[in-house]
Formats: sequence, structure tokens, C-alpha cells
Amino acid sequence: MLRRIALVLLCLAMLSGCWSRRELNDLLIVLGIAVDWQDGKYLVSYQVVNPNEIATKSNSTYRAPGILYQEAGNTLFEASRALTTRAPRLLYYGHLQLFVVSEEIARRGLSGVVDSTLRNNEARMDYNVVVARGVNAEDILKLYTPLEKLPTYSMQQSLQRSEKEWAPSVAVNMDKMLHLIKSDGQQLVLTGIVIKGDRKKADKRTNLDGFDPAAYYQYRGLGAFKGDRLIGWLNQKESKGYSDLTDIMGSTSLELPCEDKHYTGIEITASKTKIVPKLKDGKLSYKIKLITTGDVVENSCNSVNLVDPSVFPKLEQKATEIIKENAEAAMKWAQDNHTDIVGLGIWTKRKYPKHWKGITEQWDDVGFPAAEVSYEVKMKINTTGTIGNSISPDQKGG
Amino acid sequence: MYAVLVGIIWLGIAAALDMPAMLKQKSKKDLSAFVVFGLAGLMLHAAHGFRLPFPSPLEFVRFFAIGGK
Amino acid sequence: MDKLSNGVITTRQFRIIIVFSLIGDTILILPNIIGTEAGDDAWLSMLLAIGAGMLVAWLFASLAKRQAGHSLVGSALIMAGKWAGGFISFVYMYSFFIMILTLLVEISLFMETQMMHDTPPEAIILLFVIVLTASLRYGLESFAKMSELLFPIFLLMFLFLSFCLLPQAQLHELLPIASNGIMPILKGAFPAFGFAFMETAAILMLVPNLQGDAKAMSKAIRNGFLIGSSFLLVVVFMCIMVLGPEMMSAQYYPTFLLARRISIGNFLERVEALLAFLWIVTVFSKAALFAYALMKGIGEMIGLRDDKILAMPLALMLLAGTVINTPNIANYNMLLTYYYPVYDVYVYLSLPFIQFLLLGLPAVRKKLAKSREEREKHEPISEMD
Repeated sequence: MLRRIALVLLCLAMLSGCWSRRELNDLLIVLGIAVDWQDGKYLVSYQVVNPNEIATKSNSTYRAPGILYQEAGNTLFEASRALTTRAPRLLYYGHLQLFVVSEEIARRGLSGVVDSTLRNNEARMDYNVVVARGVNAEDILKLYTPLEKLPTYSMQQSLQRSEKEWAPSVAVNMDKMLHLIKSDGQQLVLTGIVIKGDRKKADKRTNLDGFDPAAYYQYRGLGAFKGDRLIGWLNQKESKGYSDLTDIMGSTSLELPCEDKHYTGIEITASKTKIVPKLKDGKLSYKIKLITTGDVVENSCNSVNLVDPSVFPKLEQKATEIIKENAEAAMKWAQDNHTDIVGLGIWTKRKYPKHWKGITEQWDDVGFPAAEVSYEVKMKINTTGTIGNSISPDQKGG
Repeated sequence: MYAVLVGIIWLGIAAALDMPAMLKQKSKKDLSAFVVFGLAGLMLHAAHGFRLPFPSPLEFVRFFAIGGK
Repeated sequence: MDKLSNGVITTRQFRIIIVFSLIGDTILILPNIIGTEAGDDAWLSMLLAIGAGMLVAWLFASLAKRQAGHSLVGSALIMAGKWAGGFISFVYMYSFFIMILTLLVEISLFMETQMMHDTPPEAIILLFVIVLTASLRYGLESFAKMSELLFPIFLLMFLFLSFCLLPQAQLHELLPIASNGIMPILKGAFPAFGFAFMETAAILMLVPNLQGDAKAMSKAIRNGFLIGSSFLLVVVFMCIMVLGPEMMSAQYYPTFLLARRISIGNFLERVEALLAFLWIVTVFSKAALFAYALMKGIGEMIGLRDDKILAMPLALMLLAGTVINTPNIANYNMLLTYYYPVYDVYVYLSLPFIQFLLLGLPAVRKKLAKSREEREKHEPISEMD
């Protein structure tokens, strides 16, 4: 009898908690980390959630939804621990959503900066990494955003959404980033984030007074890396091409010009990319197949008659050209800048592993720029939405 | 210090649980084995507690290496 | 020695114990090692290891038959006499001892680096050893029954893990196949072979407690090896296809990372702590198996009446051993990758093989049969109660 009681008590004792437990009010939940380089040290800013502010029931006391803690240190760990001189609790990385790196650090090399969160057992790998363009990384975390109380959540959602719906952004999480940095067939690409508008007002609540926020963030351009160093930025056209070539594109918008500043808008609904390398006489050539389907979603061209079947091939032809231009622009940028962000190396490695072994060293500088690429673009337009022709009185036909 | 303490407590519990049965059966072998192993364990704990340099048992494995097969 | 003091286990329980001990700590540390050596060909390494493992299964099954109802140590003593047999037994005992040490250190390192960062590893080991001792004192039968109970749960959670990860599996990570030649595949297969298959030799200590005839025993060993290997193969495949070979070699415990990746419909996430249960069960099973083998072996060597009294002193020595033993993780990993499998070949492969050959000698066989008769006269083999 006594033994049973002792056993039960022992089990209970083990359930009550463990050595490493940290209660919720002992945690400083970090949502976003921003790293700048200042005076030879890392300036690390942590955006920490302020639970009172985001709770829907309590009255907001006009404080910011998050708190920005900042510390400088030679290592990120030093900064995080030095923070205890200012913050009442210890940081908890379990809900990290966004990791912002300043452009300067990106140019110096990323792997050292992300190493700390990688080794940490609390931080998971599903947070997104972006590069701050033209601003300090810390400014990104100080922004008031409309609609979502937590700015990092807004930014993360925006990044993931725009990757799917508007191609020139890429949501890279830690998993993917590691994979790309370590792989020798494809180089890393990260999205750049800028702050537009009146930056002075960005970190005040008055930013949100009125319909139009005075300052807002925007994702602009993809930063291409060589190894873990940033070497340049792709513009919108090239970014779209990149998305297409790496088969990330889910949907985007194509604008087909017709006459005099009028466009037909196409929504791409599905896109698949296949890259087929061919090895002949020791020379590599690639055939890139882009297979896309889309719908017409907007038409302000009077000359385009959407009820006439013969119009569709013409539209498809124009769309094909644009897709090909985007892809060519991306490829040209990559080849000019000697970095294989498109991933031709990976396709080569899968198909010709022995040949790949010989050229892998010089791939980015010699092999890739010299690679011959040919495109085969197939575009099919299926529907035109719920109406046939637009209601314009000048619309021909229909 | 704690190491030796743990060892003593552990042996105490072991003795309380097992000794009566063994004494009743008067099995010399069992008793001596128990005492020998118990003291051996205690000695190891003491060695660690007093920070005596003690080679790890696992190091024995190193003798067998061909250095990566 | 009273064999019934440890109880009788059915062939089904025997099989389950084999499966658990085969998976053991392999599932924790192997993907890292095999990924570093073989990269995306790790699955080929695994297949190779399984092939070799089935041969080992055949060896163990035949050896178990030849042991004629004695344990590994018991048959060694009868076969080679007190001194030579005692020496062989001592080698086995020492190996079992350091095996348990390795397992304890491993599980504590795993818990420390992945889950409970601030807990000192000694506390984790202490808790583990307490449970281990309790299991030892209750006897083999209760452990076998517990394993039988846990197996369906284990299977369910494992299937859950695999199915939830299927959407994230990318077949193209398996390409290119064998691009670096056969050497890396062999290099990866060797540790796999060692950890999973060779170390299962401890089951040969359980032969006296087995209920059932020799044929059922061989079948159980064979099936146990097969089932265990399929678990491991699935895990290696998942690691390559979901994580990719780079991540597999970068992370120390890739299977934990696998569990972290589970994300169904954006709401079923962060279940990795639940799945850590799986690895703890298998590591514990392997540790318990080796602990029983150790206890029993020492009992037989000395000729004890009741070997359960050794449980607590042995546990104390284990505690001491781990406390002395915890090396830094790089040292430890290197030891595991390069030195341990070679040691395994000597102790868990060559020695049983030699024993297998020697047990075939007619003189030895007679001695074994006689000893068994004598024992059965004193304690008739009863069916499981």
C-alpha cells in the first residue's frame, strides 16, 4: 500500500514540471530579428510582442503592439544576453517570424549572422529571411502597419502571399536558405524590403492616422547571392523571370499591350518549368520549357475581341513573348553577374553527375555564363472571366 | 561531493530493499557480489567527486580503430 | 541459476524486443552519420547494411539454436570452461556495459541539445537510470510485456510521422544515384550495419527465457530484423527526401528535425516533442535489453542464485560511468562514426561467430545437452503463467 502511494507521488512529482521549464510570463517572445552592422559590431534589434496590446479584450493603451529591444555585440548571442540589462525577461525564439538582414551584412556574408539561430534549439526553421534595402534593418521592425497589429506578421504574410500571387517576391525560409547556400548547383536569392513614404513618421502611431499610412513597407526586387554574399539586385522583370525559371511562380499578372497605353491583363493560373540539359561533345546546352496557363482578367483594349476564337492565339503569342523576355532577362542578369541563381547546375547534376563533378568548381564563373540556353514557351489562355467582351461602347465585335 | 552522496543514498536504498532477502537465504555469493559491485560503484563516484583523473570506459574502444574504415 | 526468476517471454515479445533494440539509438544518430558519408545515396547504404544485416540475422538465429537453451554467456562458460569461457564472458559484459553508457550519454545529449537546454545532463541520466533499475528489478517478463504494449503505439506514431511528411517529400533529392561511386556508400553502410544489426547480439542472452521451439525462435529473429530494418529504411528515405542530404549531415539529430517539419493545414504543427517519445522508447528498450544481458551475464559468470540483486549496484556503476564519460560532442561523434563500428565487428560479430563454430563441435554439444538436462531436472520448464 505504502509502495503504491510512493509510486503515485513519484509520478505526480515528475508531471509537475521540469528543470528547464519557463512559464509564459517568463518569456520574451521574439517575432522579428533585425541585424545591422555598426562600428564593427552587430547591432541586433528584436521585435518583441507586447501581449497586452494585441489582446483583443483589454483596452489598448496606445502603446505599440511590439517593443523593439536593441543591443550591440560581437556575436548575436552576446547581444541577446546583454539585453537582460534592459529587458525583464529572457528572449524566446520559438515564434520567430522574420529575420531582416541589412544590405551591408548581406554583402559581407550571411552565414555568420544566421548561425546563432540555427544552433539554437528553440528557433525553428520556418521564419523568412529578407534583406533591407536602402534602410537600416532596425527601421523595418519599427514600422506601424495597418490592418495587422503585429508588423512582422504582416510582413511575413505579405511575403508568402506575394510569392504565390505576384512572382517577383520569394519567401525564403531558413530551410531553403541553408539548402541553397550549401548546394553547389544553385545560388541563394532573397527578397529585398524597403520602406516607402515618410520614414520619420514610420515608427509613430500617427503613421496610421488617416486612410493613407504615411510610411509603409514594400518588397522590391530580389537580391542575388554568390555563396552567402549579396552581389546585386534583380529588377521586377528579371525577378519575374527568376520566379518562372525556378518553378516558384504560382500566379502573376501579365500585361499585353495593344494600342496606345491600353493593355489586356492576363492572370497566370498555373506554371510549370522544366529544364533539360543536353551534353554534346563536352558542351552543355539547356532547353528550358515553360508551360503556362492563364486567363484573361482585364481588357481595356477595344481591338481585342474576346469572343472571337482567333484572337486567343494572338494573345497567347504576345504572352509567350513577354514570358520569354522575362526569363531571358533573368538568365542574362545571372550569366552577366556570374552566379547561377536559376539552378542550371542542379539539373545538370541530376542528369550528368560525372560531367558535373568536373565542372563544379568553375561553374558560376566559367560554365554557367557560357551555357547555351534555348527556350520553349507554351502559353494557353483558357477563360475570360464571367463576361465575354467588355462593356466599352467602342468594342468591336461581340 | 554530490556524487558520493548520491552513491551512498543509492546503496542505502539498495541495501534496504535487497539485504533482508539475501540474509535470510544466507547466500554468500549473492551477498558478496552485491557488496563488491556496490563498493565498486561507490568508489567510481568518489573518484569523480574528488576529481581524480579517471579514463572513460569508452576510450577502450579507441584501441580498435583502423582510423575510419 | 533460476531462469524463471526473470520470467518467460513469448516469441512475439522477443520479436518486438528485437525490433526496438534494432531501431535503438540508430534512429537518432545514424541519419547524420550516413548523410555525411554517403549524401543522397544514404538509402543505398541502408539497403546494403540491411542485406548484410540479414546475414547476421541468420548467424544469430543459428547461434541461438546451437546454444541449446543456454544464454550466450552460459554456453560460452560450458563450451570453454571456467577460465577461457570466463574471459569471453568478461569481454561481452564489458561491451554491454559501455553500450549502455553510450546509450545513456546519447539520450542525455539529445534531450539537452534539442529540448531541455538548461537541464544538466546528469539529471536526465539519473532519471533514466532510475527507470532502468526499476525495470531490471521487476524482471524481464514485465519489460517484455511493456514492449508488447508499446509497440502498437510506436507503430501508430511512426506511421503518423511518415504520412504527415509525405507531402514534403521530394523524389528528386534521391538523384543522382551513386554519383560518387561505391566507396561513400560502403562508408555509410558500415556504421549502419554496426549500430543497428551487429549490436543486436545481446538478444542471444535471452534465449533461456524464450518460450517456444527453436524454429519459432529463428523465425522471430529473422522477422524482427526485417521489421526493424524497414523502419530504419523508411526513416532514411524520409530524411533524404524531406530534408535533403545537406541538412542531414548538418544537423546532429535529423529525425527530430523531421518531426519539426510536420505542418498539416497550418494547424497541426510543433508536434516534435510528442514524437521524441518514439526515440526515447527505442533507446530505453535497447538500454534495458543490454542491462538485462549484463545482469544475467554477471550472474551466470559468478553463479548467483538471484541475479536481480545486482540491479542496483550495476545501476550505480552505470551512473558513475556516464558521469565520468561524457565527452564533448565532436569527440563523441567521431568515436561513434569511426571507432565503434570496428569494435562492434570484433565483439558482436567475430566473437559470436567463433562461438557459433565452437558450439558445433560434438563434444561441446554433448556438454550443453547434459547441462540442460540437469537444469531441467531442478526446475521444470513451465509455461507462461
